[in-house]
Amino acid sequence: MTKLAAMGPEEERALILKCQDGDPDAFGPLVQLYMRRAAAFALGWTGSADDALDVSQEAFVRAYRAIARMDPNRPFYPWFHAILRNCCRNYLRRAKVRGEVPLEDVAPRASDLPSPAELLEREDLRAAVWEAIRRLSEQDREILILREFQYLTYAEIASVLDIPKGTVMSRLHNARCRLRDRLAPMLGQRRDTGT
Amino acid sequence: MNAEFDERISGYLDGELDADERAAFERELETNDALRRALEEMRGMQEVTRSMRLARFSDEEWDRYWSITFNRMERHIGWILLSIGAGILFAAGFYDFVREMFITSTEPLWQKAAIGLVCLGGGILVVSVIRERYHRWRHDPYRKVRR
Repeated sequence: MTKLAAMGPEEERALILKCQDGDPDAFGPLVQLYMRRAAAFALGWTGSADDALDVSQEAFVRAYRAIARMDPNRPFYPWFHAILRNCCRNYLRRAKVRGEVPLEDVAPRASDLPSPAELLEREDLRAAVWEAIRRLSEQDREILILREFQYLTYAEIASVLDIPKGTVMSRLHNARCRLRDRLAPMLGQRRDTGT
Repeated sequence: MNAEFDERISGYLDGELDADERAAFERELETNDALRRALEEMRGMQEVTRSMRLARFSDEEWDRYWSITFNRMERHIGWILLSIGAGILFAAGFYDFVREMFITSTEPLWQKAAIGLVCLGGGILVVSVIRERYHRWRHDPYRKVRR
């Protein structure tokens, strides 16, 4: 599959209008443009790669079914995100928690490859961070995933969640405070050992 | 601590404050020990979260993504059409059956009543089995395990 360059609002609007006229092929470029973002968000929510693909694909199917009711003058992703969030919620309601940790280390430089002991410690840390994120409220987890793991700016988060930018800052700060509180024992230990 | 500056800690760390807000925050930092401590704690946590990322999917998975989604969209349309057609056929058949059996038929009343009871009982059994299977499927902890 060819990687798509960012799409302008006019191109996106044209595709949405084609979808509304019943052309499923016009939905392909929209899926290809947003599938990575959608699957990454679902991964942060479900914690399982297989389920993330499944849930995000289900969200696209539902979006296509509902696209006739969408306002083509509005951007696609914020509208789609609400559907994706609902699919993730439904998933959490019916699925059992799996023991997977969907986080990995940002690749270290070849010059400072970690020792096996450090690797084990990193694994524990990843598991602790994921467990802390998983136990946050949906609202906290959502905004943390968007910012910390999908690297969206505050303006982008505001657009996706349909809230003012100032609310993004306060909501994100409160979510981080709760995450910090949950991670406090581990962060304190790391400070004490200087790692 | 001043709640206004407290909430700006995240904005400061993320580079999301405008120049005036940033300058005011840095002025406050010079005199406010609690704010400085809170900033350092938050920075420490951010260093931890930034040292990790969400797992990546393989290129093969992205290559298949649209075709799987398209197939699901198509299948969904197929199911809708199938359900509508089956619903119409079932309703028409049921109407014909009721008309034949209870209106135009000359069979004795006890026979009509017996057939009606057999149909009703069968219907209840089918619905009950479907409902039980569905309930068991919903609560099966292994249903997502791939064989």
